[in-house]
Parts: sequence; C-alpha cells; structure tokens
Amino acid sequence: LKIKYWLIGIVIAGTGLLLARVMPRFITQPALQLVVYLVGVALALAGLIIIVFGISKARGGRGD
Amino acid sequence: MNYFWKLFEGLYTLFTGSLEMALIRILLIAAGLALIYLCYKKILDPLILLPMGMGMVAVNAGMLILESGKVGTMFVAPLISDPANLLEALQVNFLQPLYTFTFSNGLIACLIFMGIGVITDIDYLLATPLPSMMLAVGAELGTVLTLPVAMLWGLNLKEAAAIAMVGGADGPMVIYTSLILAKHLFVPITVIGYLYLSLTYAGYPFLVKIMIPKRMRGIAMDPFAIPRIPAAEKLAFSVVALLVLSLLFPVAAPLFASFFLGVAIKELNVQRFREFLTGPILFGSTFILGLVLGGLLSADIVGDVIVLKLLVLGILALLLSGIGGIGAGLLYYKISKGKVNPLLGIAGVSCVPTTAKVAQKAAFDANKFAMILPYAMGANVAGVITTAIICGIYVGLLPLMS
Repeated sequence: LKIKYWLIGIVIAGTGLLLARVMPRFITQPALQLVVYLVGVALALAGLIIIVFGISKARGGRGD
Repeated sequence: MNYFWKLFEGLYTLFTGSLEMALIRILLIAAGLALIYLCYKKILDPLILLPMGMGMVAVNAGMLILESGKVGTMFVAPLISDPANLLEALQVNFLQPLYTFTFSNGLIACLIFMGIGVITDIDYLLATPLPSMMLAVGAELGTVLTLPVAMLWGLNLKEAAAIAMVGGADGPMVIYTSLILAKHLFVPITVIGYLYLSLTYAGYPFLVKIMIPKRMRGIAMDPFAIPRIPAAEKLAFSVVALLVLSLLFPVAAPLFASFFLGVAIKELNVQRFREFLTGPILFGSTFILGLVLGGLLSADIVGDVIVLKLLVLGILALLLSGIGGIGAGLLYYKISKGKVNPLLGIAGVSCVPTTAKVAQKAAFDANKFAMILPYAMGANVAGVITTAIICGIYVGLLPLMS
C-alpha cells in the first residue's frame, strides 16, 4: 500500500466532488455550470485512478 | 356460433381485432418459439431467453376480452399509474406483483448487480487501470454516438439517452436510465435492451471474426501473470469508489451500492452471503427478469411505431459499442507490441459475463491453448464501471440540461 498515492487520490477526488456537486450552486451561467460539473467529474474519477496506483500488486502468480 | 368462439378467446381475439395487431401477435409468438428453439440448440443463452420466449408465446396466445371490453392479457399491465387500477391489477394479473415491486422500481437491477459484484474479480482492473479503462471507453462508442443519431431521428434528449444506454450493454443500467429519463418508454426500451443483450452471445462472434484476423485471435496470455491484490486493499478501494461515485452520481447510488456490496462480500469471503447472492438472488432475479420481459412483449404493448425506431437504434448502439471495443482492443494490441489479445476489446462491452465468454470462445476457436478469460473478465468489470459512470452522467446531467 503506497499511502502517498491514496492521500493524493483522495484529495483530488474530493476536489472533484466539490467542483461537481457544490460549485455549480454558486454559478448562475448554465454553460459555466456544465463546464465546472464536467471538470469536477473528470477530477473525481482521476482521483480514483491515482488511488489504484497506490494499491500493492504481488507478482508471481495467483495463489488463490 | 358467436358464443362458441368466445369459449376460445385467444383465437377469437385474433380474428376480431385489427389485422395489424393479429399479425404482430403471430410474429411475436413465432419469435418466442424461435427463442426457445435457439436456446435448445445452445445458440442463445437460455438464462434469460428461455423464460422470455415462453412468456412471449403465452402472453400473445393468451389474449382475451377484459371486463372493460378491451383486448388485453392477465399477465401484466405496465402502464397503469392510478392507485385504484393498480390495486386491481395486482389482484388479477399474474406477473403484476413481480413487475410492480421488483421491476418498475429498479430493485431487480440492483439484485442482479449484487450477484454480479460477488462473481466479479477486480484484480486485473486494479493491476492495469489505464488499459482496462481504455478498452471500456472504446466499448462505449455506441452509448455516446447513438444519442445524437436518436435526436436526429426525432427523439428528445432524455429519450435519446435512454435508448443510447443499450450501447453500454448492461441490462440493469438500461432499466435504470430509462426508468429515470424516459418512463413512458421504459417498457419497450428495457425489453429491446435485454433482447439484444441476450443476442450478443450469437451476434458478436461474427463481428469479432470480421474485424480481428485469426492469428491475432489466437494470441495466448498467461492467466498466472495477473498480479495478486491483497483482499484488504480491494475492499478499501471498493469503499472509497462507492463513496466517491455515490457522492458524484447520487441517482445511480443504488446501483453502485449493490455492485460494491457484492465485491465487498467476495473480498471479505462471507461464505453464506456469497452462496445466497450467487445462487438464489442472481439466478432467481435473472429468471424473474426473463419471465417478466416475456410477459411485457405482448402485441398491445410493443405494437407502437416508436418501437421500430427503438429496435433500430438499439441494434445500432450495440453494433457501435462492439466496433469501438474491438478498435480499442486492436490499439492495445499495437501498444503492447503484439503481446495482448485484441479480443479483450469485445469484453470491454460490459455485458457481464457474456462478452468475456464470447472473447474466450473466439480465442479458443483460433488456438486451443489460448486462455484469456481472467483478462477478459477484467475488461468486463472496467466496462461495468464505465457504463455506470456514463449512466450517472446521463441521469444526473441531462435532466438539468433539458
């Protein structure tokens, strides 16, 4: 487990969530709302992918 | 004489209604019989299509004149919304309780997703996240491209998104999206979606043979080369992914909860729940789903002009997704310098586990020693997650846009 990736991933995903779910409430322009929402979704998903890089992978076959 | 005919109302209604309706009924009975035959011949997957075919035959043969004087059936009345009529239908119609309490609220989709979660191994996805997502994104081509095509053909944004979701090739998502975005088209879209998804088992092998040369299809991949991921980390990732995705797409949260609950049960190895979800829940839900879908395929429900459009758009969505997935598979083959079997691309189409089985069967046909199923299941899982994300975007975003 590489904790650094987990922490960075969680922070980025959290930022994405804020952008996607909270920020559009403070924006009145629909086009900008959409852009902020999509950027937020992309960031949140990128955060999840970064977390995946922090998962330990044992080589040498599947014992189970 | 008239009284004599009324003793055999199934036949009587065939001759007293419109010619068009009679022809649709005969066509649907023939289609039901064809499904049963193709299941018997093992050409189609019988898990959904056998109960569906039996249901189709029975519902279209068993039409009668109801108390109101209209022609109908005693199977299911999906379009009822008035509480008094619904209560009456629940007391009379044989499949109405199953439809009302499991189908039309998306429960059956969630139950199936729990079962899928339990049989899903997310190791390959976590070991190779970017290639897996590349395959899955390619396999969403139909979900994305069918939306503008449907709008050009006269459907509104929400209806177009609901039918485009068939390209995601994931039945529960199709149910869910159409339920939220286009409830008036819920029945035809769901029926068409599941009919086509079941037909992928017969149709995609041809697409694979056309697009991928035999020497590439026969590339063997070592199943033991997939890294092992500790169960605790898979569980932790599942929890974080559930939290983030549910916060991001609250409308699709029941589906995410169901899937990741299944994954968590598998990783924690809660044996009794595993047996319960993979046996009674998964197969029971699949059986009920097939039977209800068959009951919904009656001439009075599907005999609508829009159904023809949906039939064309549904097959277009699945075809495009298949082409996109195989295209991504071929790209992955190039990037890996020939080490990866491009058949993994078709498994990116998230029809779990059908497309993974299609990929394995095509590989086996080309090379008796090619074992790619564990990899194909990884691409399959990536497909499920990608489809869930697109489902979340569609149901979360499109209502705001329209």
